[in-house]
Amino acid sequence: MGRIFGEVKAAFVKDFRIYFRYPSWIASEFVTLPAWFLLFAIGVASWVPKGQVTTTLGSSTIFNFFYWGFIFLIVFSTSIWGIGQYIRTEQLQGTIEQLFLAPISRVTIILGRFARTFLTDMAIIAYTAILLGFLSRERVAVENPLGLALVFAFLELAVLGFGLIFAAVTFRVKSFNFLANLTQFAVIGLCGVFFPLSILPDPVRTVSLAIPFTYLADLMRYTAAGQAAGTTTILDPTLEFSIAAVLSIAIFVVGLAYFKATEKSAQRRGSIGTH
Amino acid sequence: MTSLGETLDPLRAIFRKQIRHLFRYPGEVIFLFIIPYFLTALVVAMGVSVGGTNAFGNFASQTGSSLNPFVFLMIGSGVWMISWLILESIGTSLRDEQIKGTLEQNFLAPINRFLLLVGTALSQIVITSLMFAGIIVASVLLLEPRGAPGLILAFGILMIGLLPLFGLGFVFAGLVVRFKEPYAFTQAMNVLFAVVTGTFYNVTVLPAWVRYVSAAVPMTIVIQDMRLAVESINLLIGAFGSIFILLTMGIVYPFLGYSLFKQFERRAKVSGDLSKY
Repeated sequence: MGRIFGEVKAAFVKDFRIYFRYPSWIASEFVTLPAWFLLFAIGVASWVPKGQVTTTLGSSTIFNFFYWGFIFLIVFSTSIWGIGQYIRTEQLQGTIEQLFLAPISRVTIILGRFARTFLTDMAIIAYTAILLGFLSRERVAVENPLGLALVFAFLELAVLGFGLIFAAVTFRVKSFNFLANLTQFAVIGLCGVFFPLSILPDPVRTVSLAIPFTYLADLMRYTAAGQAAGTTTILDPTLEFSIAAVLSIAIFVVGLAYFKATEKSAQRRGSIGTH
Repeated sequence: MTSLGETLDPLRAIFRKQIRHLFRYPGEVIFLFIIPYFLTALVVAMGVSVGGTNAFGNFASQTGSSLNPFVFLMIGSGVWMISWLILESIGTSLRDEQIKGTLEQNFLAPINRFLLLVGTALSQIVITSLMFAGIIVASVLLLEPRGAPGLILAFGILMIGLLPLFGLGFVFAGLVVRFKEPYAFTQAMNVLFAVVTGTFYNVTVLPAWVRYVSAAVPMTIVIQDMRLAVESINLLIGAFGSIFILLTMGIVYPFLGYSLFKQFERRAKVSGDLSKY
């Protein structure tokens, strides 16, 4: 146990050092993310009469409605660009073979990276809340902090599992950026991150309901903005919590198993460093 | 004294190289065409969900435009994607050469460095025209066919708008030589440009101090005038003053941009920073 903890810590420290080696990327992240939010929030505000709140949003403001969708997206993106990209980054840096020769598990290295992205995500989320609150004079409200913390825990588990699946896929596909963008767009479009599922046509909604992240996005908004703000869940809240918990654990287990299997197969085929 | 042919040869070679590089990764090119459709659909979906039954009426009154909202947004996101591509290609062209290890060879070659940038810029006209056809023309013909005649004027405005955009690209290229981190910088700037140029809305909704910044960015005028051209040619005639401003930007920005680039380049040559990254 101590050994695993040491490996995770070493991976975490390494990743943190690399992160701080490029301050321009950090600055860019802190400028770009709130800018994306503003771009869409102002764009959507053009569809609503000034100062009015629509029935779709209940008494919740546009700001709070989109803020939580935006937070979901930041955390979800970690699975692709944080964890999923890990293999491709090591391939590009030419260090992947050395890592495979080292007597440590690749999963612990990914956990170290995950720990780093978790901390930096939290920093960005806090900063975005303060900055946007200052710019729009809106306050980020959390209706059910305990419920939100639970949803966050499920989401992080699912993100880690999905990130492992994505990292494994990187062994097989060459067009990482294309696949990463496509996945991100699919989640935005299908999981009801920024709009209620009710506006999607029936067959598309069925696909949405089959994606585990749909329930996590829905529960995040429900626990944060709350029932009082007019936000309702897709299913009964207790049932949806249970489904989200089971699906998150399932994604993590599948991700872990798939990563290990793909890693072994890549070793056998001699394609570890191929990209 | 170099002949015109000697000048055109490297220009042609650079142009051909850029076009080949661009189409070497078809997946990425296809993606450039998909992104504006996706972003527009996303904004429409979000707008309809929050705006309810009166969403389209609200949009028309808030933007002051009678255009189909999808077309209105497609013009904004199409121009944004074009400007993103141009600013990133010109701004990061030197970094690409650094990574490929061909930068020093290019600087030792007996050609003017300006031609390197112009060749890159010219290749952008090809992809810009293709994107204009695939994104803006397609959506106008499909959803706003009465605006089809205005497409010719819209294309002209876009071409004029490319000139100041190249100027901004030269500034980006100079900053890359100086500060080494091209992608972080271009990414942040491109998203900020989308916010200030009214990609998904009319810039009049922005606070007054932001509108001053918007006025200095050529894409703001390009987007506004292209929307007017498609909505009604008469409206564009009423706003002809903005085209003069765009033309002035087209003369001033490339000149200033290239001067700044040369300054950074000179400094980098003296300090030996040119090939470091």
